[in-house]
Amino acid sequence: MLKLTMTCGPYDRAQALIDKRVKPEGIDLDITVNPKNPGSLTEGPQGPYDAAEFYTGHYMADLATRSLGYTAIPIFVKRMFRHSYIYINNKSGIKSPADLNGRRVGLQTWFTSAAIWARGALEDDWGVDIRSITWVAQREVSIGGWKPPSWLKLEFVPKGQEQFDLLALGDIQGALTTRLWAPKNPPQYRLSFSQPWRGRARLLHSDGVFSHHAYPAHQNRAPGKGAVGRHEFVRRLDGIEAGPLR
Amino acid sequence: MSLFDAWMASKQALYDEMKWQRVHLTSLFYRGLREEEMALGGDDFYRWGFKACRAEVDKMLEYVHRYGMVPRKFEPEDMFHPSTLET
Repeated sequence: MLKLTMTCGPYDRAQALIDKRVKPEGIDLDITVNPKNPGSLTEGPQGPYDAAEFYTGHYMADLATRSLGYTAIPIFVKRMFRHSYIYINNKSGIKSPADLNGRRVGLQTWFTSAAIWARGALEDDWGVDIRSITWVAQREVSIGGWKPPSWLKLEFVPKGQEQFDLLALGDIQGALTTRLWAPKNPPQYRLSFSQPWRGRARLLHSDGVFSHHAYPAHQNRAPGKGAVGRHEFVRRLDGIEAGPLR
Repeated sequence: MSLFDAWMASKQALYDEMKWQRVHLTSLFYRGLREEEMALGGDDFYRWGFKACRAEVDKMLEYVHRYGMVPRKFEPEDMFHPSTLET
């Protein structure tokens, strides 16, 4: 029997695998549960896991060079609507998504899956011109020798500073992030799209596209698992209807 | 494929458990929310598998190309293990 190692988060949909009620045929699967940010934990104590969650955006960006050494399987471990991970500073005068045009907007990395979906939705559905925005990334990532395209205005958060602080100060006026900044934080930094249920049906049926990430996996000994997409729900700018979704 | 099948079986086990969550879960609104969710997304709204998710993967590949992360638009078939393309 093939012995493989795998890591994933403590997802309810993985629980039958984790407690071995479900076993892959012909594989003795040793699972390590990582409760925090499992997408970044591809390295195990004995080296890389044979299968692991991984960031879809990074994986897709690596398709041209295949430098990561992963092969995906279409298991999307985590799926969610990323429209509800868009924050604004309410003092910035942003009343609708299109008001982000020409502003400074934060993101974790240019390749972050959630931010890829959010950018696509903002551009396709809410009239945001991605090229007009100065993007401020928390971290620099280079995949396969990637160079930013000439149209891209990409800056980085100064060392020692956090993106949330920049948003609070108004140095950036919006941010796309997987971090949970609302609703616990003060009201001046609330979620841009704050009506969780509205628009859900339209999203689901617009063109069959759900927000999701896919998590590929190591190919050391076996195809890894794919991954993601979680759903969350379309939110709207306070007092402003979300724009039409195709 | 064995690993893919195991993940699918694990998700199905969860769906089976969720039928009992209306009783087991400490929540006022769970059943109503669950029914609404299934009315919108179907019995298997948390879709996995190549064919079921191809449109979504293709859309994300379009964005990855549009936003300058790759030099050309890749196809969903380019990114998964060949044994899973019939799923």
